[in-house]
Amino acid sequence: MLKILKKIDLTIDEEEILRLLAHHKRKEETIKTKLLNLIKETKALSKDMLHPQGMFKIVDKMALKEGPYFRGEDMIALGLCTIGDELENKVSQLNQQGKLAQAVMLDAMGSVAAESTADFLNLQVCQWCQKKGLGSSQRFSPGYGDWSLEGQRFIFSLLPAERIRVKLNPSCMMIPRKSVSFAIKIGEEFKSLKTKKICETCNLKNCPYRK
Amino acid sequence: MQDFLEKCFESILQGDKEGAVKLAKESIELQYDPLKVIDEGFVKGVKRVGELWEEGTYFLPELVLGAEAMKAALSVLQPILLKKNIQREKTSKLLIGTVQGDIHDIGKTIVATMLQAHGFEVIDLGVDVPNHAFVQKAKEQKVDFVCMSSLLTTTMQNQAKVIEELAKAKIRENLKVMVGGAPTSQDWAKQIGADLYAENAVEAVNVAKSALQH
Ligand code: B12
Repeated sequence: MLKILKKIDLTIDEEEILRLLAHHKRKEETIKTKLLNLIKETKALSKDMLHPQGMFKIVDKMALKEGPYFRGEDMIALGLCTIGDELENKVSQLNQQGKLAQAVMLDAMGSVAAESTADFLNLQVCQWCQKKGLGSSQRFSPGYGDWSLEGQRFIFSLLPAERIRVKLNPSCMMIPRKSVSFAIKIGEEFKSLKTKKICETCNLKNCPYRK
Repeated sequence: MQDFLEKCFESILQGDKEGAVKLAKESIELQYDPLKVIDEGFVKGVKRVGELWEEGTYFLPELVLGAEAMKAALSVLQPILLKKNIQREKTSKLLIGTVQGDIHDIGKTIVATMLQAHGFEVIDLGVDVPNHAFVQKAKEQKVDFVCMSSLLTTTMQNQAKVIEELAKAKIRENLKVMVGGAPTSQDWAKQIGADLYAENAVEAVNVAKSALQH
């Protein structure tokens, strides 16, 4: 089963933007007006530059070559999404114009938007699973934990990435920059995983199954 | 004069580029000692901005605004120093870029801007810089530092390769290599024989400055 979503509605969480732009020792202080204005201005600027698209494919584990990451699950959902390249081109342009602060802000918004697009796809996978009476694991991505970045080649070999104009370069970097790939394990055994604990670590805040 | 220096300090703290440029120009008209205006006004401001970031009060765009205001003020005052033949401090040339196969831009550019704001002469090669381009430019420009950024574990291998190529070109001993970017670390720097590592742009300035003293 392959599903391609060409139009996705996003909500961009300002707190997430601030989180990306804060030092890890961030103090909870009031945000200065100048920064708030920059956020507002940049949000307006970014409005027509976000082109979130994505796809996911549900594959039988039996159909996959034996990999080190997938063991014992019934099925796996593979996902890929992007916000397109318009935003990052604007970031470069702002940079060249000497407007680095706004470039930094816009770049962070792009990151949050890419992550939200992945959240949206994740939700679609969860809903598909629910309909089938199956459970799903948390999403995980090549380059995180013990799944090496080379796992990108595996994902790209199974998804028609060109349909949303995402490419993988020889160093396993996706172009456009603001793109995310992931896998979700699907199976009966994950139904019991939907515990409070797993929801706490998940950033799908509007998930209907959130506990 | 003290009031004037205070205003210079404040303009950087507020990230007010126009204000900083205006003050720099005014200081020339008033024939203030440019060295004093820079070091006791503007530099103090940019140092404070760095501290406010490190203690978690300032956000990244605020740090960058301060650095940009500083850069703008310096570009007004540096020609005056040159004309009067005043040496501020040991200045140095620095090459920076994101390594081959990697197109991550923003982190590297922030580091470059912070270094410029602190008086370094920065040559920014951009992103996806071929290994040999680092070496060639370093040779050509006789730089004191080669700085490399990477976002991914796959591309950070190229930092090691550039270091090897610098050695082959027999210029490794003439310069310091500084590495950074999300997946790198002090351990990684040590492992590949880089001289310096910094976690963020403020640290990069501190580390580069202290390397100059040795
Ligand atoms: C935001 C983010 C994203 C965003 C945007 C990415 C982008 N390139 O624009 C999105 C959501 C799209 C994303 C996607 C992915 N990401 Co990501 N992402 C991050 C995150 C959280 C922050 C990066 C960032 O923008 N920081 C803000 C900028 C301003 O900081 P910076 O670039 O790091 O630069 C600062 C310092 O590093 C330093 N610095 C930088 N360069 C230099 C150079 C020198 C010389 C010095 C001294 C210092 C220095 O100073 C800078 C300023 O202070 C990091 C985690 C982290 N802690 O950094 C992971 C991270 C970079 N991502 C990671 C991964 C794995 C991915 C994906 C591969 C996941 C996937 N499978 O989809 C993709 C790859 C995207 C691609 N194009 O191929 C891993 C990389 C590790 C690895 N294995 O290589 C990280 C480290 C997370 C982790 N904990 O593992 N990501």
